[in-house]
Amino acid sequence: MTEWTPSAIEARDRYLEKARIRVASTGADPAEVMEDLRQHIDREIEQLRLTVVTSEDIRRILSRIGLPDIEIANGSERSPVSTLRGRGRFRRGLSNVSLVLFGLVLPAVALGFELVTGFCRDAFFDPIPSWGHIVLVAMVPLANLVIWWATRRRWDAQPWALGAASGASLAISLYYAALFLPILPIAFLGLAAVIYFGLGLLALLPMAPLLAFISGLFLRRRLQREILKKAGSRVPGSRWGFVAALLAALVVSAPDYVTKLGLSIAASESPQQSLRGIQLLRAMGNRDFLLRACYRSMGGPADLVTTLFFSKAGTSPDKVRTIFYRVTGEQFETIPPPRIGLRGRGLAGMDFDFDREQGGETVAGRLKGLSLAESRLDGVVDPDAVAAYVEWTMVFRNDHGAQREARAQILLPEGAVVSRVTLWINGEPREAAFGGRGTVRQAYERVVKQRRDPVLVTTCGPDRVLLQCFPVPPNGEMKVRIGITAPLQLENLDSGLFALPRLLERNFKIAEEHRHAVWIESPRPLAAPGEGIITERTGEGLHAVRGRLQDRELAGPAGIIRADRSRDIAYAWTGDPFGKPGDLVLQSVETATSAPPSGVVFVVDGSAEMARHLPKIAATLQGFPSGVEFAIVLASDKATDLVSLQQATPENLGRAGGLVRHIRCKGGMDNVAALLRAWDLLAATERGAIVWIHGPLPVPLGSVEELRQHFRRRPHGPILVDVQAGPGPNRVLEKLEDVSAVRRAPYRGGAEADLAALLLRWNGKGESFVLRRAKATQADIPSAHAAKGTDHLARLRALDEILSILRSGDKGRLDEAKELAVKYQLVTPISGAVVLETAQQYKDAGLNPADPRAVPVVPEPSTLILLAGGLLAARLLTRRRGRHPRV
Amino acid sequence: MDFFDNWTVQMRKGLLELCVLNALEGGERYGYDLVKLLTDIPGLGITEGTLYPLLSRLRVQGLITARLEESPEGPARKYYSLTPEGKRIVRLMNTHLDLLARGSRSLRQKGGTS
Repeated sequence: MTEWTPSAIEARDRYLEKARIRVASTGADPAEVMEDLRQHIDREIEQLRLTVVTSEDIRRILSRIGLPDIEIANGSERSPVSTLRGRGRFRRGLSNVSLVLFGLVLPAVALGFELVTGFCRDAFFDPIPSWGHIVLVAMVPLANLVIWWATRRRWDAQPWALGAASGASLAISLYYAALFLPILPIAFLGLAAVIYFGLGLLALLPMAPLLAFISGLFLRRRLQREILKKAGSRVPGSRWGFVAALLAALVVSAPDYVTKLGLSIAASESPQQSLRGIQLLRAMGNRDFLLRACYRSMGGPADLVTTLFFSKAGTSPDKVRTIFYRVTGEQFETIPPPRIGLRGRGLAGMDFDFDREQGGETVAGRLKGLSLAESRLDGVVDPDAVAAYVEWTMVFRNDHGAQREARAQILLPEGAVVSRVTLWINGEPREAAFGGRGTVRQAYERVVKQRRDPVLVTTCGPDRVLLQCFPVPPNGEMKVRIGITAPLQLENLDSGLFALPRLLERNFKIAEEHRHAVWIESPRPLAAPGEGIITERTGEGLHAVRGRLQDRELAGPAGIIRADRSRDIAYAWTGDPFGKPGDLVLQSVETATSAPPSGVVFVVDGSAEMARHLPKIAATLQGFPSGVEFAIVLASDKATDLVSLQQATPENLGRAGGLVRHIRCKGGMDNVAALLRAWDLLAATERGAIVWIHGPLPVPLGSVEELRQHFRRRPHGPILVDVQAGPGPNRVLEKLEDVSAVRRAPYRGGAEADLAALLLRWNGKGESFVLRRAKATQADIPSAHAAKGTDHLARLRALDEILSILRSGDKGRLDEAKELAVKYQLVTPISGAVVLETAQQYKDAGLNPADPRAVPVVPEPSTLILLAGGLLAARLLTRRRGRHPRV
Repeated sequence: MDFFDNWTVQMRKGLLELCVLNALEGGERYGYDLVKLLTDIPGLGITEGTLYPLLSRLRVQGLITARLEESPEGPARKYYSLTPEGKRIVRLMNTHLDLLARGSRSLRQKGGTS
């Protein structure tokens, strides 16, 4: 093998360079001539049998060969007039510049531009949806750079590697050229319409893959000529590189086209097909792709496989959101979308820019710039009257440039009602008007369109209200307050529980460091387990719990306040401020039967959210009363009988617990089919109960109407006891607002504790009570064991009557119910509360705002002391008479 | 350059292509051997460096063709041959040259001793 010294190589290269310049002006092919001369030199060296070629050898050989004599070489050809040297250099220079520009710079710039701005993703499709794609695309300019540099320097050390790099670069640029083919005409138009420099260059970007491919071909020719010295023949390694890169592109894109395929099947109208698609997505789908597809953006990833083989139009974002929930069990708007590189447009955070639900009846996703700035809960608990009143004041802040509507779904304590709504306008509190549900909603929507200041509160399910406040001004704040009248939940006659209201769903952010300021007072001792809560006796002789709670703490045991009460007090009464003078309301506390139902079917939600709750729930089930019939139905992709109807024994309860513990929770499940199955199992059972244990159900799946029909047509059929694990909306329960059979399990701050309390009651170890409220006269008020309550008793009585009318289904009495709700200023399924800005707006809507003197308030300490004094007097009276109540 | 030098240059320019075409008329030749053959022609005074551009130009003009043949001894070898057009042109050129040569000789005989 012949070895060349570096100076010999240099001497040869210098000669060839000079020869090339001379030949460029002739009619000969310079590349061909250079190759011929190079081979001739090699042949001369062979003939001389040199083992080491020195510059001296080269000089001797070259002096014999000589430089091309153009005049002679042209022979009979006429020499061109132009400057020979300049033209050759110009052509060579232009070739180099083109290769560098289109083979190296343009692909690199296109990649960088897309990484930073996401322009193509937003306008057409996402060409680099994953890091794998970015690596492949980056390979094109890198491979071209290596090949270009190698041909310039004539590095022939690794020809196979260079060939493979060439093949890979061609494969990737061809793949992307095919992807961008449909939008090339737009790019050409863009180029033609150059208005100024930047705009024209932008149009080049979609052409980058095609231009890179063409440059790659030219580079491959150079490779053949300069390195491999076999002009026109096969480049070793090129085929391997091409195939490997193409396979890599297909593999990297596999999650995308598998997901697209799964999506198109899941979106099918056929339930069986749809389920197959969901299962495919759960097994092999790409979560990031699905999440991106949930947004109203055209920027879904593109891959060659679906572009070539699936011509069906994409699935609408609304449908994708439902599919996303079914596949993952998560609500898309609660998850930050994936980010790649610095691209922040379009999918910036989990916030929406445009509020498409403004003025509507859905909370929808988080809005950019909207947050809860301040929150305070002020309340008073009257344990002897088994009632409480709390005011939740919220300040919303909008850091966005556009007006925003703040919306939230609030879960009230069981049996509670909103009895006051206040909005601050220009620093002044304005009380809401109460009216028919349709009337207040119309008034609100009308004012929202005019971009004025309204607040609307309506019910949206059992013990649920929807709060809507508009507009929260750009870079400004809005302050609202809702007052909630609630009965306490009696654990026993000695204590009652008051659960603070909490947010189930919201379209505004709550910062991690945000805290709700809580201040609840009572004439009786209070206790609250929250770490941020102080329990104290005030200087005025009252009891208080005060402190700060995180939002998630509100939804847990920390949000429950226990109040001591006097077990002697069996009655509470008050004057009716909305009735005639002398009208009273009397409430009695009666012990209810705590016998278990004759048959219980547990419906267990198999959604992903339930996975962490099931072990404890399985353990809690062991407390089910023996001898009672029970079954378990699993709400999964199909309603499945996990345990058939049988009498409970410790053994089969143990087996049932094991089955529940091992449920494979996945995605988001449709619970309605399972509830219907449970109802059917108990259809013939008197005093049956369906205990529905589920996570949040934020996406409506399936129709609830059939379920409503079952419960409405048989009001004495099985009851539905709701046990929810984790805070969040429940789209099924929202539609069962008018079903009297729906109950809530005793609330203890968590599904497992709630279920345990329920089973304890059924086992006869826990007590349950019924509060009966009725209109009364002075003569009806017992002389003993009775305490004076507050106006809230009158409101709760009115609520009882309204709900009774609604549940009776007597349409003839709906107006009566509505009038009652308006009179007592209550937000019920048939009424709402709206604050409007001006008197004219109220007049136009036919509404009257509440008299500020008549709205409920959190009483001053002095008032509470009076109340305490009244209670003490009642107690002393009881003791003197020596009576012990039997309740 | 004196008169004679200039004339030889003009002669080379005129005859070089004919020499190449004539060398190939007998059949295909290996490029290296062809070049060696032509550089050895006395009076032609041509170098390899000049011949390769000429060969390339003739190929581009379609008068000769080249093919590569794999060689066990080293890089592929290039073989040249005439195209049909080349064969036609070389016939015409040779006929023309013979005519000129006869004419020139006849002038010398008439001008010399008879």
